[in-house]
Amino acid sequence: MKRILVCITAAAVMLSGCSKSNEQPVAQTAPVQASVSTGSTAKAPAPVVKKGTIPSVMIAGGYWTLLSEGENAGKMKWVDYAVPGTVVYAFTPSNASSETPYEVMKGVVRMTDGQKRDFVHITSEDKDYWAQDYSIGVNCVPGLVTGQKSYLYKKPNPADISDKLLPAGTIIGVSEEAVDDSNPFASQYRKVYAYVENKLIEGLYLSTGDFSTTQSDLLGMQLYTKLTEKNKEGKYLISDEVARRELIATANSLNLSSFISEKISSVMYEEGGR
Amino acid sequence: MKKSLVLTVLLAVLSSAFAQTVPGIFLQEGGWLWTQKDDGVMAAKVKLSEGTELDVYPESKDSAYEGGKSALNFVKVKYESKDYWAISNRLITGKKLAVLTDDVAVYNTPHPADVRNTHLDKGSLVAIGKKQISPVLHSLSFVEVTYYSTAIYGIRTVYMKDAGYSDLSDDIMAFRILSRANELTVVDQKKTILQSALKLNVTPEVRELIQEEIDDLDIEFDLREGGIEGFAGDGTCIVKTQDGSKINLRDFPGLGGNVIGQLEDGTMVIAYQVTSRKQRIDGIREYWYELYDKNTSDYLGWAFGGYLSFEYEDFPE
Repeated sequence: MKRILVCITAAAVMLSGCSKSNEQPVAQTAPVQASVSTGSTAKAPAPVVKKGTIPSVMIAGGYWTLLSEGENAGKMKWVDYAVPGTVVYAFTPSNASSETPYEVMKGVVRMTDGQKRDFVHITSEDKDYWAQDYSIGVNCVPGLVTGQKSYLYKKPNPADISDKLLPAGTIIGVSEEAVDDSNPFASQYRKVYAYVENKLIEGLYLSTGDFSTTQSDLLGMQLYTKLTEKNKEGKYLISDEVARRELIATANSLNLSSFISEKISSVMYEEGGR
Repeated sequence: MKKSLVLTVLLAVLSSAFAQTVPGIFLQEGGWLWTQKDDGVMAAKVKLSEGTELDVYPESKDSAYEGGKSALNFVKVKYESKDYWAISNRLITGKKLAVLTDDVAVYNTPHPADVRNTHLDKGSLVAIGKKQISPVLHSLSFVEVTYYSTAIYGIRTVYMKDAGYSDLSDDIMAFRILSRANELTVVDQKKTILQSALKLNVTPEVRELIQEEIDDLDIEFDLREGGIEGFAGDGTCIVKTQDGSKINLRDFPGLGGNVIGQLEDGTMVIAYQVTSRKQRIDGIREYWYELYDKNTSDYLGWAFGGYLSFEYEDFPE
């Protein structure tokens, strides 16, 4: 009897082991508490700069993933659009230097069209992605152009004004790089990154009076952009009525400056008349 | 011989007891549970409805299935005390079943501008996961939501605002009853099961929805008894039917009203009053409007709002 018991126990352990070695891939998360939808109860996340990364800003484009298997291994596959102004983190390479402060892969083939492009290695929402170099401002915080005539400057000096203007409402990356203390105008200008009319603007400066880094205005502009973006046929990219209603409701809950609130109001007026 | 038989039975009992299951939610409406035939091919056995709760074993396999060309990944599940296999991307574990009490937009990330161009309908059964404060707007909370997407033939996990759903079992049961009621054609049967839903301990919003459904069944009802209001704003509207047919004008709002006239498709009129309650006709839930002639302001009658458009772009130049 004892022998049978030992035998049964050993077999049971083996069976249990077998089933574990074939773990099922059903999506799993930690169990959640029961509740009716009551609004905010979760804790506000503290901004965390991940080790070995540089805070950066998506100014256009979207996220890509590097394929590691199959016939397309080594090519970049499109994942999704990024909301301009989203904070992401660029990875720093192990041999980071002032010349290569973040991880870039040059001349990688895009699966979509076979074109070769340069990609920056990033992480967003704990996911690993790549962003085309034109679409990201590395070592930046998000900003919004608020000035009606916002000239770009070649250097942080009023005498170095260029003929280029950034349109009001453009979401930009405002560089966090150290300012030159010997320049008396240094604090009045910041290096910016923007993507306007299919062109990357980099290495130029904007007067600090011409942009805002206020979170609510930036979010208001992101919502407005989402509400007004159209495809080639002139139809809204976000046409779902429930989605549009929620975008407007969020915008209405923000404490916006008049510049943005007028834009949102114009959309609301249009929605009301439709 | 007898000893080895006992041993085999005991082994089977023990292996079943040792294989731990976790609660799971099957999210596909009309999806199947399968059993494996002797030739290894999966055969469909039990049809499930969206939101069915079952137990999931930590065991999966790729297998061919009847009616399919390529192999799919199956996971072993227990449903009503019997073991089956389910296609892996039809179910999820570690989340709570909930019913949507409102139409909700879905988001790729907990960012309020990262919305997808789609929404989930009120009454859908979904799996709710972790809550998360939006990193860009701390007054706004999002919650992970998993649903079955017919676009990708599998489950999709995204985010929605932390509102417009309930995971209370009576609310879920009430929506299951509502769904069943919509399948029935006999009005008395519908009314009976809807009234049983009212006996559940449901939240006020859900109670109101059920009551509306019951009210809708009483199509002869004079909707003025539910209250009427003056029409806010410009009441100019146009008759807009799918097929260009005429619409009826009635002496009171509701299908019980006597037909006192008709309006051609494309006629512009003015609405002065509107009912407080909606009615469902031809699958459209809308208010009834008291209409007047656009030019003479003469009284015309009551018309169902499902065939009226207040959208400027529908108006003639």
